[in-house]
Amino acid sequence: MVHVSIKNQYITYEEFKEFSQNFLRKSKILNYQWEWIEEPKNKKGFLKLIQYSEISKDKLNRHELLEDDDEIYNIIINKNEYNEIQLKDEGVLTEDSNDIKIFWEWHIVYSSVFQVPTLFFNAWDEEHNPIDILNNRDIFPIKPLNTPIITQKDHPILGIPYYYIHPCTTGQNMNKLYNIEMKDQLTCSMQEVDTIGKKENSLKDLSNDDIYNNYIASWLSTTGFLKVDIKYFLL
Amino acid sequence: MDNKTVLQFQSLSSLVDPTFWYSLTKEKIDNIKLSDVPLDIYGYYSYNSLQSSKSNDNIKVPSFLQLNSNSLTNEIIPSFSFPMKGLLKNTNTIEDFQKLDKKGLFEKVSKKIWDSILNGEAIKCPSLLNQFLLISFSDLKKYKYYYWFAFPALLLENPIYLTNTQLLSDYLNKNELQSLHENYQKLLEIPDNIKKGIPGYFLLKKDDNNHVKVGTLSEWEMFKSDDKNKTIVGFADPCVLPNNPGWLIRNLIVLLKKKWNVSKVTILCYREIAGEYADLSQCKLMDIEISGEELSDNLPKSVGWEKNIKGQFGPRLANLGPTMDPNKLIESAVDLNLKLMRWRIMPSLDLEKISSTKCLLLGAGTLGSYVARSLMAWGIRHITFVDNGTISYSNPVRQPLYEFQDCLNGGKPKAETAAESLKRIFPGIHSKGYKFTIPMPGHSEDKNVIKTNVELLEKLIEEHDAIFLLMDSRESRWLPTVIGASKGKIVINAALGFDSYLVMRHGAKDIDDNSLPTNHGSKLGCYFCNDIVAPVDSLKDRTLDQQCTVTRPGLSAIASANAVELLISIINSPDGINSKADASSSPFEKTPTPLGLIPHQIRGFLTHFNNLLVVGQKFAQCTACSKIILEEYQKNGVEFVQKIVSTPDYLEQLTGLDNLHKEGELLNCDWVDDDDDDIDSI
Repeated sequence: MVHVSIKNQYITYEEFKEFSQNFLRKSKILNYQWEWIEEPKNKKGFLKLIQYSEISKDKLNRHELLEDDDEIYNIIINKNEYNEIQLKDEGVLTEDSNDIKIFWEWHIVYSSVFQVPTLFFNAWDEEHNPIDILNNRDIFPIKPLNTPIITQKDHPILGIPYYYIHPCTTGQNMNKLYNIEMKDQLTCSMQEVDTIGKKENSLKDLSNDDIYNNYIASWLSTTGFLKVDIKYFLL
Repeated sequence: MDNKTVLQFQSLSSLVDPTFWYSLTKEKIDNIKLSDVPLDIYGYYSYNSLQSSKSNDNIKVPSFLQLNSNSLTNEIIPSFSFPMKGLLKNTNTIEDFQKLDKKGLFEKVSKKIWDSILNGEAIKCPSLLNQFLLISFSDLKKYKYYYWFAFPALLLENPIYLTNTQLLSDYLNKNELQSLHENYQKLLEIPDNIKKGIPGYFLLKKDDNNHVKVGTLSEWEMFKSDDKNKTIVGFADPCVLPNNPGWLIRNLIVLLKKKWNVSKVTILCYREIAGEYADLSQCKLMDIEISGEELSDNLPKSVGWEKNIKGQFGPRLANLGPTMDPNKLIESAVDLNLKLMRWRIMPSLDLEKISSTKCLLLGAGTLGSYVARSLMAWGIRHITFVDNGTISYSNPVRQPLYEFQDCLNGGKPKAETAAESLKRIFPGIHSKGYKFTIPMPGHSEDKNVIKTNVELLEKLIEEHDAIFLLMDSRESRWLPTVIGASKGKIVINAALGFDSYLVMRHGAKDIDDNSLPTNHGSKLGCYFCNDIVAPVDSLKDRTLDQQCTVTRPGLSAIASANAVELLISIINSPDGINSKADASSSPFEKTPTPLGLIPHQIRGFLTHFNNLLVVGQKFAQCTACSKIILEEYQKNGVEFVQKIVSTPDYLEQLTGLDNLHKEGELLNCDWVDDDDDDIDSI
């Protein structure tokens, strides 16, 4: 049973968890590999998806990494024997090595301050070196129409720095999606109060479970960073 | 069908989830310890690779072998995936890693694969064809993992030729496709089949009535070509390229050649896009020719070392320090907090400049402790203390870098203890402590000791960017004021009275330019500019309450915080040390820099909870920063200081202050009663 108030865009953690399970169920059917990760210590969980993309090496600004040159690695990497370790073989497909493989780790985490889902993410290369997103804002697999404010923050569950989209407008966005008008009662005319009342009534015809069935997918579509399959809403 | 080309296989790419390294680290510490016996590990590959590109179009997903936290212990296999068994050789030192017989290990794995073909085990358990090698060295202290994968593929004498490629959906009709998928599912459902990799390599054959039969390698005789059908060998293919099969078919082709001397066969690259309805549209059929004689039992040559990120053969490095090393984590957290300030409020905040500023704290008492903590909070990484004292029982409650233990047995030296304390709070800090007495006018001292200490102080001031004067006497501030002015360093001075304080910056080096405004940084005075007496021994003849710290306890934290914020405002200002001194203005008025006003002096009065911003110009006859003193110091250095220490009156002679006094006496004015007197000590 869902307890979301229809006047209110905020959700509780329990609701977040419930909506997430629903989202996972559909993801499985639709072959999107979202997972639910739960930290044993605090019993709090989040949704996680790994995505893959490729980008040309010259397009990536990596100055932060160069500082972290590893001496040992530089010694072991430059060994002549490695050049001869592999026999020549026509059967090996030579692929363009000018591309860099990037792994995107997307997390949907519940924000207890804003009481809405929040998008956290990190990007790594094949060897798990972090990609500096703030200096590479153009490399997202999908670029949202309006780039939101991206900052870094300690992941509330994992405790290590992740990039994240600030959830300050999420509540309003969800309001719009659910057609909830949050007008200041004092400035509301009687007529407006009346229409709000009618809307509540029309929404009440549907059970809360139905309305919030796709809360996560709906919310995710507002972030603009991940394609949300329309089938989530048809299943 | 004459346009045959050499069939090329897409190499596997290793994809190691950090959780694999976490579990290896844990296993190493708890169980493996120093043993470097090779271990069995398990990776997996997926034939559903296209799904990851589903949510972002036009991406060529490589063929991945994935390792994760389950890879060491058991064989939990994700859906749409098959296992690969690997041999992990993890060395204890980098030298061992270097010396490792890499070719030997590679051949060992190749031989295992070859043996499984010879003895027929691979037919019953095809995952034996996929064995791989992982060599690694784990630097557990730094959370760095040096590793190298190899996926041995046995080689035939001649290349394999591709004669024709077609879509599976052109060969099978819709019903047949569905039948294939259903029968394939049945193969997957048989217990243990996935673990053995049986559905990873399979056989198929068109049947009558729109059916397609699916069988295992053991059923070869039933599935091989007849007059109606060609032999089709399917394999779960992580590759998504249109004209190339993935690496994992290579050893199967060798098996076909060795076991059944196959020379022509069709391979099915089974690439399912899972979903609501299984999509087999990406599956490919490739007709290939395996030429050459029957194979002997001798181990064939093999290839399969993975290239690193630079595209060369050689080890890779996974540096998990930033996410696992607590020392790295606290460093990034410190920076993150400051960056938030920049992102949210002040884009012009030059955090790099701030954090690279090296600070010298003269005095490690109440002021020194609080100043150091505030500097650390601003991300400053270099803090050096100078103090000649030891920690006494009265210190810990007022001086937050010390504890009760530090007072025992006569007390630990303050400067070193403060530095240790900072490192305990934040291991990323570079901090050192020096215990010596700063030579002071009127505090007579052995000439050699003075020389050593002057030289040490000169060296320290030279090495730092900002000098904080946080001592408890006026005259100890004299020498660092002279040296700081002479070297053009930022000097911040903080001094406490009982319930009032002074925080100020010393003026920058004088620029002989009269067009500059009087509040220009180079026109501002130092701590001694407002005095018309030379510093003498102020501790002598004082009552006890004047000699020790008698101030309201909250005062020091307030003054220290102001001193640090003043420094930060100076650093962040484009004019730096030359920034104009701002006078007080209303808090509602706009400020000239994003951080706000940059005052010369802040005079705080705790009685009224009030601060006054005061601007004071350089005094031509100043006993510390005037031209004549600086010239004298630069000319005679240590000797000059030695002379001042023994005869402080010399300062007044040099600057002509003595004449001023005489004139004053003639006028019968009481100059000595300066307000500053109750402000200077602590």
